[in-house]
Amino acid sequence: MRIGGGDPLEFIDYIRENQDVFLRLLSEHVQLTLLSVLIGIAIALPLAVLASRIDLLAKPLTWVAAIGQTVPSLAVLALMLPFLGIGFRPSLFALTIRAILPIFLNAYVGIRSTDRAVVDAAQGMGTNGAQLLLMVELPLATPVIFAGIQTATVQNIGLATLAAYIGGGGLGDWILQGLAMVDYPVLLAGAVPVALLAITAEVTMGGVRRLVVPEGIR
Amino acid sequence: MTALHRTMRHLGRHGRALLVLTSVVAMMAAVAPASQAQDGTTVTVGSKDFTEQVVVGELLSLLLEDAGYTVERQLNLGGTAIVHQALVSGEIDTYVEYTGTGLLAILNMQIPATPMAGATPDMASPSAATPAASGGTDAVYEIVSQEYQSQFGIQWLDPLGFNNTYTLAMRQEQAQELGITKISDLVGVAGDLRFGATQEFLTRPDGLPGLTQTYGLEFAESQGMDPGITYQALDTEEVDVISAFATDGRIPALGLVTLEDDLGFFPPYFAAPVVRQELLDQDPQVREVLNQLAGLIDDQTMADLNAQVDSEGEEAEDVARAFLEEQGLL
Repeated sequence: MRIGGGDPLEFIDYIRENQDVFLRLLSEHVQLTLLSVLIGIAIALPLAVLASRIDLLAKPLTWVAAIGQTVPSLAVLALMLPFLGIGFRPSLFALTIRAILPIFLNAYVGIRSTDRAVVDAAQGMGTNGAQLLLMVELPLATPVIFAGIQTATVQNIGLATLAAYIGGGGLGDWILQGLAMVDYPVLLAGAVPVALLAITAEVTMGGVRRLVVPEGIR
Repeated sequence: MTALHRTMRHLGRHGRALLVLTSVVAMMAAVAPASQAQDGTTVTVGSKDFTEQVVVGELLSLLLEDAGYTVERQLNLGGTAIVHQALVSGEIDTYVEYTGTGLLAILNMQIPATPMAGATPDMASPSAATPAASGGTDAVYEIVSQEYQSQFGIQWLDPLGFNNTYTLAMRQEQAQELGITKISDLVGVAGDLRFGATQEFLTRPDGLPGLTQTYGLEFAESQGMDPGITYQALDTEEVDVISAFATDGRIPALGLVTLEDDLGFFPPYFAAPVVRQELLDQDPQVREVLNQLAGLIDDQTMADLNAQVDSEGEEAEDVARAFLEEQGLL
């Protein structure tokens, strides 16, 4: 063990020497993040639409989503252990819970904050409920909805490191190993790629957002 | 001066009284630590982040408190390297380390005269393994004592008695089914078995890297996880073999079996307090207080104490206190 030793830049060599492991950890990390955000979208978007249509549901749904956000992910991992065991599945579960709130809140607020005048105009032109949602409210809310998805993604890239506590793999493996041994190159070999992943996600999704936002509100 | 006067006038009578009171309190606070140091030195006790470490950390703390020291507990700090660094930098004064861990993980040295990591598996001479467990014990203690003193200015006190060696554990039924009692029995079947271990074990030289080399083992997969979760994962059949500590109370509690280290790969891990030399110079009595524990705790006793915390849900401090009272040390 090199106690606190080693040139920090050695982490690049460490990644090179352990390329197979690195690629496996990276792919586990990306899978955990992507899947959790996709499932998060599938759950949160319909809920947000529901909440925007039925006022009574808005508060309770927000509370439930907020609870999911506040319960520490480590606690979720521990609580789910008897049901989901260890490894990939419970890690995915904990991350999905975390993805729901930012996506739900942004989508709900986005839909609700559509200009009243625009809604009135649309209704005056004879749109029905579904048309109003699909052709007016959702398109206008796209930037806000997309910002929620972006937040969830960047957040979960960081949180996915927790999977290393329950055999879920990912780059957290190296972070925890580096921590346990105070071996900075190993620690950085895990931490730096996580940071780069987060930045990459932020930048590319920013670009994608510009593409998906309807021309009229760009 | 005028500025001060003006300020004082601004404060009014109550304000001035408050100012005087504050200064008195501040003066008392400044004096207090000095008078305390005369009564008894403050000793900071640390520990690693698993049950046994917290229990022995409490043992040290309670004995020191009983001898009149003020003890600050920094238990459950983290893994080996973190606690070691805290000791070297003087943030803690003492914790309990294991000889083998000191030798291999901290000093990065090899076990004297035994087949160690790097050696090829040598099934033909199992006799070479025995000295690792018996003869090597004193040798390892000697080496870590000397090296810690010269490299870090840290003293090893007398060993507590137990040897908390690393071991591999399996579920009893599966071990019986496959006819596995020792680690070399795993060689043929490891390819069908899943291995779970702490992240530390996966990287330590006296962990999986050395073990696989010495025995020629190749598990189907190995997953790293939190120490506590390894036992749970084994119990719920998510993994088949885990890294474990010989004195862990959960081994009997969960009906697990440990595998004999028939090639003598794991070094002896006798536990002993390590103390900063500076503290011992300043207050030589610390050594006598802590050495009351010398040879007092054998493997079985330590496993029992651990089980009281892990399986019966008792507080580490209560378990430690009850043990010391039973021994007539409190």
